[in-house]
Amino acid sequence: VSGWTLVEAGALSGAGNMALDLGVLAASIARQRPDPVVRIYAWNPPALSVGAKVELPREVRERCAAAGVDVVQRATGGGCVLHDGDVTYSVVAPEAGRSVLEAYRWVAAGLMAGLRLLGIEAAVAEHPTTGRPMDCFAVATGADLAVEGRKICGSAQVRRRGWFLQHGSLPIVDIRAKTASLLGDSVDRGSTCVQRSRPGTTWDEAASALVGGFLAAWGVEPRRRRPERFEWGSIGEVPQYRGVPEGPRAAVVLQNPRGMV
Amino acid sequence: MGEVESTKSVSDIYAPLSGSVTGLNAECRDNPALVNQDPYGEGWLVVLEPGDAGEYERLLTADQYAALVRELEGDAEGG
Repeated sequence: VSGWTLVEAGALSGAGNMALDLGVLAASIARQRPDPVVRIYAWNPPALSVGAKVELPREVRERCAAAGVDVVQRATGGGCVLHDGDVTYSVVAPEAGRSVLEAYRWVAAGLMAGLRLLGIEAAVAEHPTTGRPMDCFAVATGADLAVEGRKICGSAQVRRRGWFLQHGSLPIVDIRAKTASLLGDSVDRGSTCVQRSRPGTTWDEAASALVGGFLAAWGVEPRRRRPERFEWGSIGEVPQYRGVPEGPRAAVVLQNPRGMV
Repeated sequence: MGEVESTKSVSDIYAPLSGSVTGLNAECRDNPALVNQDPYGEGWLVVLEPGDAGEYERLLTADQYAALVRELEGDAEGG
């Protein structure tokens, strides 16, 4: 890339983070921005982000409310992710002819370089897998990174008008039991977190490492700035959580990605 | 006219024609892998009633579309 931008906004609520990611995507499309725009961010309060096509059971939402955890629907695919002390990244960039898996791999180069700065060797996970549990971290795909076969970073995309938004979560501490208790699932044993590989790693160290990783992958320093007014979008742009099944929709969820790009 | 999700990536489905959606394939909603297994048969998504018959005449056949994609990929590889 010839340049990239790092947008810094501090920790936001679930709705705020998702509105800003979509706002950056909308701004990049409107202005036909050729360079990637990256965010590395936190959530306050903790939030459960829910994939665009997931219909969350009412009891999960009630458990989240009781635990003080925001629930927000993502525009991107995949399952449910608890954001509680994790480092979340987002990248908005032109598709530039990249297929879904190619875009995941392109972003993964920066993420892997960042983890390497922490002394953690990660790789793109095996693909495809079968089945899709509600807990994002319970299954790994070609969208994800793994350390010694254990998923450490889960990512998802939305594509609009030639651009894509990809975001993903890098857990710092082990929150699998909390995720399971909120989702009403058994505890997932197949994923890992940064502190398991590198005890004592702080949020700031991991966030800085990801910035350093994109710098290493793309070979150029980012331009750092706050969000522009236009990028804040409106909270109304965040897809509302759908507690009740809707009527007929043309939307479908593909479990087997072969042949679909 | 809708969205499709594959490998955790959500993409728009573009309507090939202007017109009205008059039917949805409920089986595809329950078993979306049909789109991959039989895209020209059981994997149909919607029934679309064209608003302008002229638009229908200008659509590409599957073979013509495949040729167009190959041409575009050739351009991309060539630089």
